[in-house]
Formats: sequence, C-alpha cells, structure tokens
Amino acid sequence: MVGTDLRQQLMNYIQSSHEQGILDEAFDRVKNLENDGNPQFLSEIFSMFCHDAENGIAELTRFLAEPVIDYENVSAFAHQLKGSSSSVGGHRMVLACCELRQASNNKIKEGSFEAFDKVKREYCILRDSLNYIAQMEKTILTNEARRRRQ
Amino acid sequence: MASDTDYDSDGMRDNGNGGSSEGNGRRRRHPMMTWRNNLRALVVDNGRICRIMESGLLDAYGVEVEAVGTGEAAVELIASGETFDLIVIEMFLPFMSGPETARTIREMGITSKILGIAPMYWEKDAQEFLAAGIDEFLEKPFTPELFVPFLREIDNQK
Repeated sequence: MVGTDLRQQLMNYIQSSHEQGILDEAFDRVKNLENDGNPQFLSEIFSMFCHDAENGIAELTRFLAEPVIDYENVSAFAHQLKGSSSSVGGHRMVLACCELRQASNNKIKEGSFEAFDKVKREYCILRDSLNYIAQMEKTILTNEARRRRQ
Repeated sequence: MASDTDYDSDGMRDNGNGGSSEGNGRRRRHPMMTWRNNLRALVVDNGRICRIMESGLLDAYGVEVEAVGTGEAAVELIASGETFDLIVIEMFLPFMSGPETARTIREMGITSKILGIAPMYWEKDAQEFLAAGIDEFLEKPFTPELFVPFLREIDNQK
C-alpha cells in the first residue's frame, strides 16, 4: 500500500539520518510529542527552529565580520544555537556549535571562523533533513485523510 | 502542541506585566506517567524551541506546566502567588540571569525543587548556579531520563 510505503520510506530516512549523526534521540522525542490533535506540530517546531537558527547565524555573521570581534556575543549566540539544535535533535550541529563556543571563548579568530563555517554547513544539512521529514509527514497525513474520506 | 481533546479542562495564562506565561493549565488525559499528586512546573527559558520542548516533555509526563522567557517574568509569576513543585531555569537568561533568578526565588522563601539547565557550560558556571540555590545542574537537552527522578522524588514527598 502507498501509505505503508511512504511511512517505511520516512522511517528509513530517519534511520539513515541517525546513522549519519545528523539526528539523535532528541529528534525522536520531538516526533513522539506529535499527536492526532496537532498533526502540524513537527512542521511548526521545525519552522520555528529554522527561523531562530537563521536569525542566530545572521547575528554571528555580523559579529564575526567586525574588525574587532565581540567574542562574548559570538559565544552567547553559539550557546543559543546549541540549545535549540539540541532540542530538535540536530546532533552534528550541536557539536559544531560546541566548537564555535570553545574557539570564541578562547578568542581564537581563525578557529572561530572555521567553526562558524561548520555550524553553517551542518545547519543546512539539518534544515534540509527536517524539511524533508516534515514534507513526508504532511504527504502521509494528506493521503490518510483522503483515504478516510473515501 | 496538544489539542483540547487531550485535556480534562481548559486554561491558558497571562501573568500580566513582565511577560506572558505559556501554560497548559490543564493535564493530558493519557500522559506517559501518572502521579499521586498534581504536579506543577515552571519552565524559565528564553530560547523558544527549548521552552516548547521542555514544556512539552513535562506535559507529556503528566505535569501541569507554565513557561516564561525571562527571569523577571518567573519572579513576577511566583510573587503573584503561583506555586510550583518544580522550577526549571536556563542558566544564560538575558538581563536577570539564571543564577540571579534562582537567588531571587530562594530569597522569596520558595523551597520548591529548582533545576538549573544549560546547553553547555564551564565548571565555574555550574558552581555559580549551585551557589545561587538550585538543587541540581543539568546539561541540555532536558530529557525524561533527567527529570523523571526529580518528579518521582517530589511526588513521594508531597
């Protein structure tokens, strides 16, 4: 059945994301909070996460572009990004944020730039993964609703 | 996050000045755990994703939750007479920090269990937070494995 195939496809994708370290068990907790009463929960959470992460990355870009880097603010935003990415299960992004915070606390310019590049890369991978999962969920729910009406 | 059909009664809260609180004000019909007593928790976290997840997890485990984004809002809520069995405070809050919030709450005579949380920290941060009066310091993410033992302890002592 198509519905079963799509669910299996989604499960396989999530499993693969776990194996690659993109997602961890925190993602499973997010998924388990979804229920029939709010099928859009995952999509809403991911959308909020991406919005907040992109704001954080924009602020970090600004601080790191200054001639004299405000490492305190870089560290603070790295901290925030780590918090939100750990809440949605973005394991590799969490690690990248830790590296950025470490480099900024030690006021290492080159290390901060390298770590920030990693944060941006891992954010893009995580964002794409979460968007794919949200889209698959939406398709599955739409198909199930259609089948119930038939 | 959860629908009306999941709850026994209604209620969302606004604590007025200093910021509104997001509360479930209700309890899930089918929580993952049930308690002998009605347990209430206050989540204080400026990160909205973190706040939603921390509140959502506590709610899923049968706890009535209020959530605010600043230390000031937490203090105001408690000063208004609200009582909580468990208070969860993020370390790096803007303006009134996590340790300052914990210290102020303790100075108000509140003896509730207070957990300090942070995504990452240095040892001196943890020491500062503990000295301010929290009962335990935990690294995020805030997971059931971390908070359920505290809920069990609170429930047994009530």
